[in-house]
Amino acid sequence: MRILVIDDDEQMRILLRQVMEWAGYEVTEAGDGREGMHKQRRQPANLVITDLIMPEQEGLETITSLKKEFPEVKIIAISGGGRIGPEAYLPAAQELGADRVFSKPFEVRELVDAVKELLEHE
Amino acid sequence: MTSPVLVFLCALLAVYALATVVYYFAVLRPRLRRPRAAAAISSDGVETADRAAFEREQTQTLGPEVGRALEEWRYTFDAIVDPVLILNTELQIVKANKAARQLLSVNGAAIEGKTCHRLFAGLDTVCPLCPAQTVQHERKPHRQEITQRYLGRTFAVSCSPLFHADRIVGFIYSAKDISVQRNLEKRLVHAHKLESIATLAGGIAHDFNNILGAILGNADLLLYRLPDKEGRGESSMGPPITYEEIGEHVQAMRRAGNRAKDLVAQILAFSRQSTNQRRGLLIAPVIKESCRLLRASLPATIELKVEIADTVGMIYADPGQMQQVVMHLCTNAAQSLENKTGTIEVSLREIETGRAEQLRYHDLMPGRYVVLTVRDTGKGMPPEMLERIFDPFYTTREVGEGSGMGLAVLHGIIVSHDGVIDVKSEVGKGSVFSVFFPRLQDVAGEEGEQTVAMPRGTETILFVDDEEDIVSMRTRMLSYLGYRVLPATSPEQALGYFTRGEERIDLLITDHTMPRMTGLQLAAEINALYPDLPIILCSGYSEAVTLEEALEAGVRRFLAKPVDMRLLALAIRELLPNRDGGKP
Repeated sequence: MRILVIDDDEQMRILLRQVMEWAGYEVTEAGDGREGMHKQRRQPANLVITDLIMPEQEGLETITSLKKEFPEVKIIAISGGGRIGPEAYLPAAQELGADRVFSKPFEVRELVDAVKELLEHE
Repeated sequence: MTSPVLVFLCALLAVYALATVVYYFAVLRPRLRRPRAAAAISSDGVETADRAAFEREQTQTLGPEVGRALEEWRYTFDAIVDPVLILNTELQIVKANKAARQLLSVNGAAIEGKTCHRLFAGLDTVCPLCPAQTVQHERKPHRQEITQRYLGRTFAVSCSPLFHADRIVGFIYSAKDISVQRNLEKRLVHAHKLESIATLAGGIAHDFNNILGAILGNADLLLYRLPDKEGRGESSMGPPITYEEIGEHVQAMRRAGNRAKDLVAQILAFSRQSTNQRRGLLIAPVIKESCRLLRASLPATIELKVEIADTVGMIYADPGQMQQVVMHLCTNAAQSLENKTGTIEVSLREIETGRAEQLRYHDLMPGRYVVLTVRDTGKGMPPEMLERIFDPFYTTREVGEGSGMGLAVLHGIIVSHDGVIDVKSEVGKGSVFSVFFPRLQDVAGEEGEQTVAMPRGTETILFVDDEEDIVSMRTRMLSYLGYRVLPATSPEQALGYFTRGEERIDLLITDHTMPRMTGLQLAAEINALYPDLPIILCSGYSEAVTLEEALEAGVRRFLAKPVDMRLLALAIRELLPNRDGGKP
């Protein structure tokens, strides 16, 4: 099964790829929402892990587009927060259709468990 | 700042003094039987009582008009609230007004005859930043700000030459105490910086969370994948970990740790309470980095567009204060967006000001500028508000939302950078703030053009830097300006020139950070041997060298790295005004 990781922070992207590969998934990476949408159209993933604050295309906008074009895709939003803290962004992400939300820094095991749970029925 | 009234009074005083001198030499002196204390600009150390008696005698001898004029002159002199001194060319006090006597006299003792550097700075030699030397050299009035640690005060000093038949025979020296003002300004800028940091907190938190995420995530993954005592990984997931992969995880943690270190350094550099530390600065990376942090600090509903031209050159600026400027303009723009929705555009480009710009921006001199523009699609401002936005404490925000000092502080920062700020706004459409900073000429690219205007000399300069490339570049440049350069790539090599004593050295220019011995230590060592040898210290922004430490080590000029060639050339000429011989 394939997972698309969208994060503008390269180190975070590499870590997410390593974690997901370790958990046995194939991984596609993208540096922002626009690139993420492009890659999802070419090679659809079963689950998308997306950051929220990114240049070019924000995570919230990406979630909206994903839900519109790929209603079946599972979405996990992660955020390091911003002016008003992750707690203000993450509920908005959930509202827009994210299945799970995580604040950075997160527990690797919890993230892997969430991915497994969401993809269980696939 | 010296008020126009003070300038006028000084000018009046100068005219009076000059008239008195001329009148005295031309008319009075021949008629005096006792020419004691006669030379107008000589230090005589006459006691106050003696002087009063002398003036009474003059009144009797010379008639009531001259007596009245003298009396009026004395009253005018004493009525000036700032200390004013008339100095001879040896910098000894010839006359002092009441404010000067109150400031400088100990237990009412006469100060006439004593040198100004002894009274202001407790020094037997001329103060390092003495404006009288510049006045002597340029033959015109000079103003300067001087902090005298000896008196614990900061003065706005004005020094004017006193001529007699085209010869400088003394100086009129006035010192306005601006310590309170400078202290307040410093505290205000710092308070404003802290406000900006609060704005930035979101962006900083975002970056830190990313960094922590990378560190903890890699550590977690490593722990899960490392084999236990039985040689199995904790989890059955995935293939066994290899040595390369262990190395990768540790490297990733290390990289994240270094990012955290840089971020902390950046915050500290920004929040450090310091006075304006200007240097040749490539402003584009500073603006880019500020925008990156801002993006994470602003609500997601605000679009931040950043357009920075690749070709933007250097300006002479303090990086922390530049960050403060862009940060404040953007938060201001964000606050003007209704429902926190809209666009902020930040752009940085270079322009050559022509007639059109000068008609539009009256304060702009012709030349090349780096322009920072912050445009928003907010509610805009009516003309009556535009007129007041740079006034201190003017705010349209609710109580508790801000001090209203932001734009006033910003204006102060921009002006202190020789910049100009302009704002255009239309109600309902938005505002555009444009800040113009004079662009520095490229040292390498435009060397030929630059050196045309650079002062030259023929003295011998010892140049010390541990980087060979810098030594050879500076040697080339200084030689081009006519100097004889003794290059040294270590402090030991530099000291060797002095111990051998074969060369006449007129000036020492040294880098600060060098192995085994810092530039300050080298300066102190050489200063102990040759206290008259002028020293220029070149130091990076992050190197914590205070002006006081530098002065203590005998450093006469302090230039921030990367050193602007033109500033260096000017500094050399200031320190070597027509010196005819060197040391040793």
